[in-house]
Amino acid sequence: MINYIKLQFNYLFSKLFSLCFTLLIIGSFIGIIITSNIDLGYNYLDAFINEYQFEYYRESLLIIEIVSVILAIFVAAHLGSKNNDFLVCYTCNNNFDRLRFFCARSIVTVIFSLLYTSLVGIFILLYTNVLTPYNLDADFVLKGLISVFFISIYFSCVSLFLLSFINHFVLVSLPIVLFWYLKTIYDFKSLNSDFQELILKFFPIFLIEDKLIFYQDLYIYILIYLGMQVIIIMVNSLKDF
Amino acid sequence: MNMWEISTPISINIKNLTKAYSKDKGIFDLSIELNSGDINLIVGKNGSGKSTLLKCIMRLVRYHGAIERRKFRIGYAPENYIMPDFMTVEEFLYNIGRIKGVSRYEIRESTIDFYRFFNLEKYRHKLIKTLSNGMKQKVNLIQALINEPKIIMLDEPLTALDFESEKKLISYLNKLAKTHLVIISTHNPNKFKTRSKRIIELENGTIK
Repeated sequence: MINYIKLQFNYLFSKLFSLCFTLLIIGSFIGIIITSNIDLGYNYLDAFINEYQFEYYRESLLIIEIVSVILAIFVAAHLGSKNNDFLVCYTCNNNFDRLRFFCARSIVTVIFSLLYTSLVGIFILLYTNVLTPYNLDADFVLKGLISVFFISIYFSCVSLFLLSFINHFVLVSLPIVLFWYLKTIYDFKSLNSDFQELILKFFPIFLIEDKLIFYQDLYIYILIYLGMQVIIIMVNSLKDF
Repeated sequence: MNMWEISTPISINIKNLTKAYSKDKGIFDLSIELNSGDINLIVGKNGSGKSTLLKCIMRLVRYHGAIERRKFRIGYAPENYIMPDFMTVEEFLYNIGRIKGVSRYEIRESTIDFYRFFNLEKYRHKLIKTLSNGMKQKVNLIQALINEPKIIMLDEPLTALDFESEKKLISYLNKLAKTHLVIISTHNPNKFKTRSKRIIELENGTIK
């Protein structure tokens, strides 16, 4: 299994991809620094610390969430491509091998999202503690990052799910559009339509009020996620190459 | 390059194999036994079912019927060798080798031999996307042979190879076929100049 995971990582981390990933990480760091409003000065921020601190956490999580989800969708699209599928011909000669191949692919999407959220998480912790006057709300940041991580792996799973039925790159625009649509929702209590409610039942998104809230219990999304993973692995393990 | 030896005969027994893509495309009720000792050449027109037969043996497609084969190491080189463009030749072969259970040391040793055999030494650190079709075919063949397989299945292995490489490969496969089960799908069986060859001609998914 480890060797299958290594293969998927080597497939993913080409020079071009590594460069894009590094730029996105740096971009996220810069975004976090900008949202901290550090340019206003310590004295000013100290005077309005409650307002600015909440905005800082909210906007930082928003940046991380957008970058993380879109990145996760593209990673899933890259790993779910026909080129990657063809590696089955070189590496598998029975159903168990195939199972391991596709499990490894799903595991890599999860590890990748974990890598991104961990890196920005460490940055937020260090930056907030060392360079800003804000009080570090580690509990809030941790819950936020875990939520972002979950949403990322959920949307990457949706991409892999769609690609396992119709393997066309254009199809990954669907989860991106869905995610974008969900980001237009500002309040779960006053939703505009039944369609929004339906979408929210199947796709997770969190809002930040005084705490992080999801539309429905997280375990329902986790069950849907696990169901999709099982279907992805089953469909890919049974299809012809 | 090691010419690994084994003593037990190797065979694949195919019974009533059917893999239908459409009414007249695929393989239909094919029964055959493939044995080591001879080089097994599967010939036939385009669409006669040569590649499908190899894919069935590799279990890359679902099929009806039975394919009995013992758990020997298998090497398979597909006809359409789509490889990860952004990996180098060495990275690709290393990863495939590791998945096939070959140790790091053995991979290093055998790839050095194969690079020399196929004149690929200069290209080992090149990205696969920069290689010519012939070079890609050579990488495709090396990945099939890297784990010293006892069953070797090559789908159109001579495609895109230059004359010299063709000759070397054929002579190598002829030697291997004495102790290994070698199955080759080809349009040019006459290029395999050996007495111990078995030609299996397919037509519309059955043996002619």
